[in-house]
Amino acid sequence: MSTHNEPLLAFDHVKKHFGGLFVTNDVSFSVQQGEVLFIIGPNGAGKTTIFNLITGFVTPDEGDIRFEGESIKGLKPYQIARRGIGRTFQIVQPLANMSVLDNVMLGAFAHTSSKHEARRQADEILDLTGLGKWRDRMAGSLPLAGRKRLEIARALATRPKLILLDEVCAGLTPTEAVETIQLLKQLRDRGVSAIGGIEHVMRVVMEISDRVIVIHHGQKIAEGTPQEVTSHPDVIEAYLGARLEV
Amino acid sequence: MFLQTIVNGLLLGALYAIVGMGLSIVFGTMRIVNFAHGQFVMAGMYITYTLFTAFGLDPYVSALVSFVLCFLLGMAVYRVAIHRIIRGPEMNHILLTAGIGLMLTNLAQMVYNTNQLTINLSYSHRDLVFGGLRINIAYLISFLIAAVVAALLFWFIMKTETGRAIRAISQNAAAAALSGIHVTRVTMLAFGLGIAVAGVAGTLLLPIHYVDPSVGDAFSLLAFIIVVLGGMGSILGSAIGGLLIGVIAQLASYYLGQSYSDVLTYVVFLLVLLFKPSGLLGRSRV
Amino acid sequence: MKRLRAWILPILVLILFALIPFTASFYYQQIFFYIFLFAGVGFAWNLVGGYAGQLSLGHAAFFGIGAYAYALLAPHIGTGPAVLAAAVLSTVSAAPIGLICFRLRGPYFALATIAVAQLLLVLATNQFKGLTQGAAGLLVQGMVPDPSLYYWVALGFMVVAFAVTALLATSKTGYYLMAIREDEDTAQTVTINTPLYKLYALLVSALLTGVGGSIFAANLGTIQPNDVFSAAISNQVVFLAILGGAGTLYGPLVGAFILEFASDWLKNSVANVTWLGDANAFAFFLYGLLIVLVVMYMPAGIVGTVAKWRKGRAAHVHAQRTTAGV
Repeated sequence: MSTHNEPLLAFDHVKKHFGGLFVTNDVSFSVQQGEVLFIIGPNGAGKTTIFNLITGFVTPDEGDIRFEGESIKGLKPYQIARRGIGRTFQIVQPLANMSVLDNVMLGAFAHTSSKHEARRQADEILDLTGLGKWRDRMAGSLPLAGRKRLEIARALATRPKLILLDEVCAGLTPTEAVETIQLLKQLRDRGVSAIGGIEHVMRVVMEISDRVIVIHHGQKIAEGTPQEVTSHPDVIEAYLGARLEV
Repeated sequence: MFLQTIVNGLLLGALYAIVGMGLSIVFGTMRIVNFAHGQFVMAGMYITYTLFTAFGLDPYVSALVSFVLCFLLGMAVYRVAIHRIIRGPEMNHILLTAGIGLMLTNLAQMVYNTNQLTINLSYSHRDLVFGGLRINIAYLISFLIAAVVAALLFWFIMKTETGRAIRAISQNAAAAALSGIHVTRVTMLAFGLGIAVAGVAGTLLLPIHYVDPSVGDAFSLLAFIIVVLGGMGSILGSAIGGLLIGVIAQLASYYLGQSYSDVLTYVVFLLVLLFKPSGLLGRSRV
Repeated sequence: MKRLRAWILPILVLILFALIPFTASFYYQQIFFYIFLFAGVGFAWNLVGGYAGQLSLGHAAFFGIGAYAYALLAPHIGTGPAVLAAAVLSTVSAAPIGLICFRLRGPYFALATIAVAQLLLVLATNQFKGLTQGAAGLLVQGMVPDPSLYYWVALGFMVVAFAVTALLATSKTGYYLMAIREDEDTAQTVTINTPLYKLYALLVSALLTGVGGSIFAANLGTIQPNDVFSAAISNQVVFLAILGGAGTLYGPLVGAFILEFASDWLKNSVANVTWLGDANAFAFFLYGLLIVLVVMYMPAGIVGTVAKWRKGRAAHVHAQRTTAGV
């Protein structure tokens, strides 16, 4: 991707503190069109805050966040969603008393007022994400992997240009994690960019990420290809010298 | 006269304070949205009334009876009903406790009818005079007992093992359970305690405030106003909130007329909800 | 085909309702009047409290504003315009009330709505006594020439209220309101302007509730603030919707039906049982018990529980068929 172009998302010297503690301390990074970026960091490092900052649930104290060249700082979460940024939550929040189909239709309603059309689009996405077999089940009754996938499906139905997946693999079995990553590949092939949040460096993730950044105590300590990052001394230091699983 | 009104407000406010402190334990700490709190205040008032008219028992003695009976009643209500829905949505807490309130209100009406009842103590109408200030003895005794109850409650929550367990659950029930606290038992105890304090508040109110079946709803709303004003989860805040509401009500009532005391109370409540939702002493809640 | 079948039951019920006045006494016509009226207001509440999940415990505010707007204006501008004015005024009042209360969530929202309704009750009783005549009561001009015709007014009101809520609830708006009920943050991530949709639901709800208040006042003939602004009105609307099934289409009608008939039967059958004391109070005691039991054992309400049960059975049958097919 050429560097002259404005990136899809620019996270520009953003600072955020709660009380006296910086949870995001002067972090910058960008996502190019069609790129998959992973943010790696232990629990509490500040990954979720970055997702909340991008999606408007938290407002930056300093710095700017631009999407397609325009600042989205200070916009409400629903306005940011309308610009084309979808997300999932770290703690899955399916709309439990609505069916799987209803959940995905909600996303589709972003582009149509017709129930018929929303249902058609939702069914397409249910097929794509392999949720078709659970179409009429209540969302709350799905197993964790299903609920996580449903969150992705619901976000996809809004036709995002960028999708943020907080803790994509947490709580999943290795097989389920691979399936999720496969889904991400499919999305990338369709031109959807993604930012994934993940606790530990995992091989499956490395295969599809174009770039990785490592967050520690609210600061970016490394950025680069998966190979570069995993051999970075600060990263090894941050993980207390624990052997990285690559 | 301004000073006299303030003093009257503080005397009344001390009773409001313990009404609020009771709810503060239940709602602020245990997160149970109890819309029947005022009905338990009412229960304390009727218990006191009955003991006084049947046996001539002095209300300041029957405070102990109110405490014990309401404690048991509260724990029973928790065990039978609230415990089953405590993990459900807050909407269900509200509806369930509103139903319990309706039951208690109408039970009272079946037994005592809708008459406004009060008790006349030999010292009800005597005043102490300090300089220009007149202080009614019944008010003063209620105030002093309320202060003692408030202090005991504060000590219990802050210093005892059970109090620590209650605070631990309010911070993080899951973590509290992991560290060996019997969450159900402690929550039941805390609910009973909050209700018992409401009962005592009812006893102390009776010599200066009539009781009829409708006071329950009024005290429920008042209790929430006090807790929100003082700040969620802050028992000290509720005490201050109660005193403040007492003073506001008395000032409005004296300078603007009786009905303005309600108007002002509700307006203050809405303003606090809007502009300082964490209350005066509360931790901010997101 | 499926669409057509969905219409059969409501039309049959409607025909049944239309036959009642020809067979029932005025006494029972009045019972049906209250069923229809409160079912209509229950439908209105259901948009906000059931579908959008915002527990309003202060709908008496809109009910009372509608009642007094009609009572005060009807002698000057006539019946039709006065009902229209009641609708407009209750809708307009819902805007500031919504802007204030919707800044709060959960129990704080519920408390704020109670405070607003109570505030209006106190103001109408005292500060605006000149206008409302306070507790002395205000004479209300009738809407129809004959008292027995109120049956039709209430039935018409209920049908309109049902049509409006059903139209909204089964469209995109209904999905959006349910998403808000389930989780407001998630709703925002799928582009829903949650404050706007909550306010929209409240405005429609207040409009219908205000019209309900005006019909209630006209039927009563004279009103005091306590008749229309009281917590009893707010609570009745909430309880009948919960009993029937909050967030279901027919729930409020089922709830209103059961509550009105049960309380009528109770009041008549225990009226002479002296040891119970006040028969009315006993009825309300059981009413409270009913609410407790519903919340504990049937929180989805009657219609919601039946729907779940049928869905469960349908899934079961479906599973059996698929297994048999394999």
